[in-house]
Amino acid sequence: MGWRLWLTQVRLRLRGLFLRRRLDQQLDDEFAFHLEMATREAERRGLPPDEARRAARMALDGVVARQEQCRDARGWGWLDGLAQDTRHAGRALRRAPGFTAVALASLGLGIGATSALFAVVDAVLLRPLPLPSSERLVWIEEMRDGSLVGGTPDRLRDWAALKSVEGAAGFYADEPLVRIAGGEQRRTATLRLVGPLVEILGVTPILGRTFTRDEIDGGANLVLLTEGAWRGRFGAREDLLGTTITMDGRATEIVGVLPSPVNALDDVELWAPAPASIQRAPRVSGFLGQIARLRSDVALDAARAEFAATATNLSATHPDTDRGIRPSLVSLQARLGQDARLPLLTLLGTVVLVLLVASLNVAALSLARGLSRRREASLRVALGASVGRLLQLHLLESGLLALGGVLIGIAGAWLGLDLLRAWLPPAPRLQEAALNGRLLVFSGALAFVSALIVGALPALVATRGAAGRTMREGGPTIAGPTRSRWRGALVVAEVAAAVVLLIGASLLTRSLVNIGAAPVGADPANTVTFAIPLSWDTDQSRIDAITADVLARLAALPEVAAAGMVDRLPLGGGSQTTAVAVRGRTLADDVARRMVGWRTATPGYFAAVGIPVAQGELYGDLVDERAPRVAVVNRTFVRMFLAGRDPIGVEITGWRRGKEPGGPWTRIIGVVADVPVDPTDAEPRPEVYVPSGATYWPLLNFTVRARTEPGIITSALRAIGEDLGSDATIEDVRTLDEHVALATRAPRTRTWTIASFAVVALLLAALGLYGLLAGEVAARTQEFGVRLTLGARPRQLLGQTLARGLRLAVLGLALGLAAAPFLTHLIRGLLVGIGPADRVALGAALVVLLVTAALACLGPAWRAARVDPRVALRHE
Amino acid sequence: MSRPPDLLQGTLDLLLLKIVDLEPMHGWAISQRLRQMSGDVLQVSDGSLYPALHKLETAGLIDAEWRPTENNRRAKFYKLTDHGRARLVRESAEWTRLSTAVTLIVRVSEA
Repeated sequence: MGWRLWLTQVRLRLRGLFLRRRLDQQLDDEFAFHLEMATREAERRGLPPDEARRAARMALDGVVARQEQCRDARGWGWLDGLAQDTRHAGRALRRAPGFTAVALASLGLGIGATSALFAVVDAVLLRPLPLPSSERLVWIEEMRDGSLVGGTPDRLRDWAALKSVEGAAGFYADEPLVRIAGGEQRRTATLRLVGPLVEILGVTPILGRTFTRDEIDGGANLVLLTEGAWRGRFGAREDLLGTTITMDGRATEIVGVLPSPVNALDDVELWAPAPASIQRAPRVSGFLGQIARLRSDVALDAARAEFAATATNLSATHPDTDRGIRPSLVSLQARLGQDARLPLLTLLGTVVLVLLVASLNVAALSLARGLSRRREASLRVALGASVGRLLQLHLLESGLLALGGVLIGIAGAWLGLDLLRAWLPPAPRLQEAALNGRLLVFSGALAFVSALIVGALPALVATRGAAGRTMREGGPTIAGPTRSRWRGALVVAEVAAAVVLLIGASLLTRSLVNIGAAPVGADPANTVTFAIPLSWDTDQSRIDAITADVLARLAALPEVAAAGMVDRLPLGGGSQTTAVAVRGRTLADDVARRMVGWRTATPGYFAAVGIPVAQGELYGDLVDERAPRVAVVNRTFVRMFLAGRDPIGVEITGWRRGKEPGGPWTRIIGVVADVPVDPTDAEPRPEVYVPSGATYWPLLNFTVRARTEPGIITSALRAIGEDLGSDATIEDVRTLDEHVALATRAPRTRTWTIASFAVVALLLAALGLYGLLAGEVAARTQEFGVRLTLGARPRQLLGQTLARGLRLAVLGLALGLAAAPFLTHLIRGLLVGIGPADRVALGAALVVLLVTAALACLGPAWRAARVDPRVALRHE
Repeated sequence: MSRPPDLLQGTLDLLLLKIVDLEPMHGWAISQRLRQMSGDVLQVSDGSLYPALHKLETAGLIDAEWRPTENNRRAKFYKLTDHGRARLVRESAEWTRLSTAVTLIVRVSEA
């Protein structure tokens, strides 16, 4: 019975809501009928018609009020009030177009930027990987002496056999030369597999089959396409299965197509087994990324314990290779988002702060508006409006602003997402960032919070004591102490948030300067760089032949000042590293464990890039196997390993046998300047350069310095490339300038973004400060006039107003400085060459803020000083 | 004219339910019937009658329909719903209990 009655009531309530016009008509009819009957009754008692009608109305005791009570009985009275107040709030906003525009623009900007960044964070970091039971996928990281070492196929098999995992597989990225049915051959991003990676990820091919265990272990010439490549480069043809493509000159059969979720791992076109030689590679040097799938009944901690215990056993059974190896398991999702995490969260934090400043600014404006409307509020209370209703009116106003802000914001986010996707440094799954339900919920929550910030304080201040007081004051409202204090507090909070952003931007700018400050090249605009990446199974003799051939042909060009080959370009990242021993010297533990870049370079490389030889000499061009092993080292190496000693003639080695140095000793014959290896390096790395061929590295990079301008070299390269042979192509032809710009793109993008947001926040805070002072000066015009008449000097008024503004700014500055360490600490991973408490950066932020604040205060202060007493006193 | 005693809170609802239980009736007729039945002891102002009726209607206890009167004028007739009838039974029992108790007390103190 209960619920049926309830259902009936719901139906009746809804009828009251949706059929109100008809019900109102019926209400009129009902009352008209009653009046008619009552009038007739009164006439029957002998009253004249006029009297009778009056009596009938009297008996009803106020027809309009009674009808209103009947309408209220429908239960929607509050809604009428709400609708009325919403209309009123909308009208009020329309009447103040300046305020409304500023408020909508700031909230829209804040909400839009925050929403767009959230969409990116959601896609890259938050959303689960699109793989079945992806929470059970873990990345196996191997560390030795605190630094990462890659996995090896042999040790991977040990991990895969553990009880806590269903299996494990490894992969590395490769770029073989691929030719499809008579087309051009092209370097193609490929994942090389060791172990059953497809099965570990839990995906099934959308076409064809996957590799068998034996095919992978045997390094079979088979390949799987990823869905993107299949639909794009391969034209989504289903008859591809069984046909062949050429990979590094070998005919390779297409066996299937993998669904696109596998690209969460790495955005490649092809998956293929690693060559047989690599499947059997020794345990010495690691190069694999490794993924395991935990059993469903095994907790991550239990698996970690088993891996740790196994590592201890392995260091006993394989002392030469596995001693000191520490495996660590992290969730695959966290590992894949790892590099993007800090930069993205920093950006998100930045825009949240900007939104905060924007909301506070609108709150300050709104507060000022609320104050000027205090008389209206008093009037309403005097006429019977409840304070609650008044509060509702204020909150509705800020709610409307927030709603407008969120609409503008979502439209902005929708447009901004395309920009972000194109502009942000590549991150896994970045392209999937899109407007979706989660984003709308997030934006809605943002709007709600900003409405509260914007509306609550002004509403409370404006309604408190609204009853009567201001009515009595009579005259135009003057900014009293309470209201100014509240507004001052808002401005201080704005300044504080802006200071935090300024400090962050200033730290990142300093880091960017540090990145750019490390000199790369003597004449980078006229230095051409290009790459000839060869396959990992290319013979050393072939590598030597190509190197010698290319360098000889470049040297023959009259425009070429110098040309050389190196394993990786400056800022292009490291290549091979090793711990180094010094003959006849016992190194401190931390130095002995320090990983040193062991790189190959021809002598022409130093000349072409312009790396000065600081001491000794370079090795010669031709390196014979029987020649003595020689090397040049950089200054940082000398500082770390050979402090206080003449480096020339010292013998070092990068080989070890167990814990003892072993293998051939290499004699240092020269010292060269440091060159930055990675844009995010805080300090230069110790490096050893050996002649090409002294250590195996098939990814060749060339640098060529032109005497005049690089155009001629670029065209000459085309001819050289055509003669290289089918296993090699010339790629990535750029000037050194362009190469450096590309390598430092990510930190530059980040810094510029955050700096622009910091400037926006700064301007908003300055606007807040200006608005507050301007309002106060306007309100105190009479007072200033009186004071001037009584002998105050304009300079004093100027000084006082300036001081009032700067006091607020300094207060905000102090708050910001106090809060900043907590936030800058979080971004220290993005800083290069400076700490989060860098004095120069803090000082710069401080100066910028104070100057901006002073400028913002100057206008109002000037106006205060220029008050004309005669006009001011006539003002009333 | 001496003012009739105010109706107890909620009593009006009970009276209205009882009246429309006899037969469907429009507002005017209900007001006449109220006056008639209580022998002018209870005088409900015509004004407070309608809000009360509308509240009962929204609560689902009475239902209304428009139809012609004996004079062929269209009027809104109220009648009891099943929910209303159940409520009436419950409330009149409650009322009887209450008034019996009050009567008892008043008699005892008079005696």
